[in-house]
Amino acid sequence: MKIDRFEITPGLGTAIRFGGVVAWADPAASPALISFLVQSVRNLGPSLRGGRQIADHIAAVLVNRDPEPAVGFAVIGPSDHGWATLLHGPVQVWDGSRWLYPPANPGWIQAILTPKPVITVSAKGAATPSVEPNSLLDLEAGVVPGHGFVLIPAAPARPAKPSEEGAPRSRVTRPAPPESGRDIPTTVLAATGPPTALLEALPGKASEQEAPDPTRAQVEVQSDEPEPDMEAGTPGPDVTGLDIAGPDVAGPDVTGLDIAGPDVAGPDVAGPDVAEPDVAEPDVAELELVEGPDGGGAKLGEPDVAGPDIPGPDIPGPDIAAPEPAPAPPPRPVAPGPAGSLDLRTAAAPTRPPLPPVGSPSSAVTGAPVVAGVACRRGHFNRPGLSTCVRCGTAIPTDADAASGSRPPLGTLVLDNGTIFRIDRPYLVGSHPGRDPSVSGGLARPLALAGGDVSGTHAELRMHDWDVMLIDRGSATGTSVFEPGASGWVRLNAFEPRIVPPGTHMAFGQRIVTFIGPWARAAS
Amino acid sequence: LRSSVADYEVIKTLPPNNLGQLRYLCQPPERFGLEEPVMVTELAVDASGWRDLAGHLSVLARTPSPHLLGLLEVGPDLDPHGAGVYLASEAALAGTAADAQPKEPRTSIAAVATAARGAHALHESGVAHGSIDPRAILFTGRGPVLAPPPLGGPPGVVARAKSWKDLVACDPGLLRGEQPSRASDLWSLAATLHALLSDRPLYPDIATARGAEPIVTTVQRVLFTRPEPDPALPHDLAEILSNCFAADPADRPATADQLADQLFGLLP
Repeated sequence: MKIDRFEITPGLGTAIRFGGVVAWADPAASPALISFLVQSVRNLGPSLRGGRQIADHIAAVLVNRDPEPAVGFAVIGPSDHGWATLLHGPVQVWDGSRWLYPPANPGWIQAILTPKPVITVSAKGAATPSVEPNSLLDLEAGVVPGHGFVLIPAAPARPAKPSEEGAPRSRVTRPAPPESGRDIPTTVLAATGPPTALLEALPGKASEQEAPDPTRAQVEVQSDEPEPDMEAGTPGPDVTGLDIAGPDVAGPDVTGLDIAGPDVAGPDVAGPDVAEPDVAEPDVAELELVEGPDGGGAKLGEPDVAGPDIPGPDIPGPDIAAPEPAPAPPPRPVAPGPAGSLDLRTAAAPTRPPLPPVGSPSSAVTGAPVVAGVACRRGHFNRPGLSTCVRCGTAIPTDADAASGSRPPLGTLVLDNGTIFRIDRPYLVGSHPGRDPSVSGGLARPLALAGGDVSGTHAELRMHDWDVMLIDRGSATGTSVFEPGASGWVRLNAFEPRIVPPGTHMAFGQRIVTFIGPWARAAS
Repeated sequence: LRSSVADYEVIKTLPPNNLGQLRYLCQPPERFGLEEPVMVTELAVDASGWRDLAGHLSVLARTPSPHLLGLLEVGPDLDPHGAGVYLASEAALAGTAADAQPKEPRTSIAAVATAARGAHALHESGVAHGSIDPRAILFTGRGPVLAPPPLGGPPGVVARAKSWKDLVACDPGLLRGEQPSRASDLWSLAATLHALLSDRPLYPDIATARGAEPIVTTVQRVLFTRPEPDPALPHDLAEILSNCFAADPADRPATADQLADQLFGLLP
C-alpha cells in the first residue's frame, strides 16, 4: 500500500508527507501541533502500518486531552486493512464516494478508507481539491504550505490485462463540498454522494459491470486496490461493515461502516440527511470506524501495530488484543504500552563486537582521508613538523621518517552555550542547516545555531589536510574570525575559504564558536 | 508541570542528570506489574534520531549487567508540549553520586567500582559510554548503577558543559575529537572518583573561586595540561587514579573490570 502521488492544493495550512504517511493541518494549528504532526509523520512514515500507528498515537493523546479542539487536522497512512485515518476538528475527507467528518463531540474520529481511487482532504466546507491525471505536482517528502491535498495511491503490482494496456488513468471530477452552513448531523459519515461526485469508469472495465446504477458501478470499477474482505458476513469480530453499535446510530442509510463504542453514537446521527441510498450500499464496507473516541472501542481484530522500522520483535499497540498468540512469544508485559513505544525488556538487539582493547588506535576516523605525518617513538601519528607527540607527550625525533595515515579528528568546536562538537566531519553552520543538501545528503553535519541574525545556511567548516577551513556561504550578517594573536575581528569574504588556526573565535551573526584543537602548525 | 508522560503518572520532578532534559519520578502503568516508582526522562530527540535511539537503547537494555540502570520502555512522547521521546527506567530514588551528601569515601569508591563494572559490561557489548561523571552514577534501591550515556543529542556532540564541573571528568582525547573508548571511560571513572573524594579540582589552576571560568578556557586546560590528583589521597588510591590518567591510553588499565577489581581491593 503505497502512494503514487501526493498533490498539494495551494493555500493556507500545512501539508506533510514522509514515506507512506501524510497529514494536513489548518492554518490555525499552533507551531507545537505542527511540530508534533511532522515528527509523528516522520517517525512512522517508513512503517507499513504507519497510518494505523499514527492514528493510534494521536487517539491516545486525544482520549486524555485535546489541546487544540478547534483546529482541523488529518493524518492518513497505510494499515493492514486499508488507509487508516484520524480526522480532527473542522476537516473533511472525500474518498471518491463518501464524505467523512469528525463528529462534534468528541471532535475527532478514526476510520479506514478505501480510496476510489483517490482521497482528498481539505478544511470543512472548503472546495474539495481536484486531481488531474497528468499533473506533475507531487510532494515526495517534506512539509509545505497547502490548503489541502489529494492522495493518489499506487496500484498494487499485478499483471496488466490486455484491455488495460494504454488505458488512461482515471480522471476524477471534483465533488461538490457539502452545502455550506448545512449542519450535517453525522457522527462519522455524511454519505451524501453528491451527483457531481462521479468517478468516470475506465473504458476497459466499464463493460465488465452490470451495474444498473451508474454511480455505483463507476465507483467500484475505479478501485485498483484489492479491497479487504470486510463485507457483510465476513468472519471476524465486528469486521462486518454492518455492525452498528448503539441504538441511536441505527438508521436505514448509515451502512458501510462499523461504529464501535457507544460514545460514538449521537442522537443526531440517525436522520434523513445522513446518507443517500445510492452511495452507501450495505455490502460496501470500505469505511470503518475502528475505535471509539472513548478509547475503549477497538473492534478490529488487528493483532499488532508494530512497524518494521523500530527495532524489536514486538511493539504492542493500545488495547488491541491479538486473536492468535504468536509462536514462541517473548516475555510480554501485562498490558501493551502506548502505540509506538518499545518495551526494552524484550526488545531484540543486534550483537556488537566488544570494543577494541585499551591502547589500540582509537583516533582513526572511518572514511577519513590519508594524510602525510610523522610518528612518535610510541607509534602515534602526528602532524608533520611537531616536536612533541600530541597524545603521549614523547618527543618526535627531528629525523623521524615521514609516514602516512588516516587523518585523526582535528579538535572540537565550543559553542557559546557550552555545547562541544568534535571535528571529525565537515559542518554546515546555520539556523536551519538541515535543509541544505550537503546535510541531508550526509556530506556534512548540521551545526544549528539559534538566533535571528544567523542565516539558514550561514557558513561551512571543512577539513583540509590537517587544517580547518571556514567558508562564509553568503550569509546576511557575515562571518568574522578573531584569530590567536590578532588585534580584532576580521570579516570573511563570502565563499572565500580561510584556514583558521586552533584558538580562533568565529562569529556567525551574534553567535560565537571557538575552534580548539591540538594540531596547530609547528612554528616555523 | 506535567501530570503524566505517556501513561506514566508523574509523582514529582527530579533534579537533572546527564540523561536528558527533564526527569520525573512516576507511578508505572499496570502493565509493568511494578509497585515502586520509576524514572521517566524526556529525551531531546528529533524525529530523524528516533530509529537510531531505539536501536541504541535496545543494545543498552540487552547488555547483561546488574550494574547498569534497568531500562523499561522508550516511546514517542505524544503530548505536543512535551519533548520528543520519553525513556522509562528504574527509579533513582536517592539521586546521583554528585548529589550524595556527605560523600563517604567507602561509598564513593564502591559506587565508582560498581560503575566500572557496568562500563565494562557496556564495553563488552561494543558500547563506550563517553560521558561518565558523578551525575552518571545513580543510587537506586538496589545500589549504585551506571546510567546510560546521554541520548538524543545532535550528531558529533562531545559534551554539553554549563560550567567547568561538567568537564572535570572528560578525557582529553574526547576534546581532541576522538571517539569514546575503553580508555576514555577509564579516565572518566578515575576523574569521577577523584571528584567525589576531594574538594580539590583535578586541574588545580582552574578558576573555581569565581566559579565561572569560560568553557573554552576549561577545554583548553583539560586538553593541554596534565591533571594533578590531590596529594592528600591515600597512596594506593592515588596510584590507581594516576594509572588511569596516563597520557598514553596504552598505559591505562586494560579494562574497566580491572579498575573495578583494584578499587574493590581497597575496601576492607
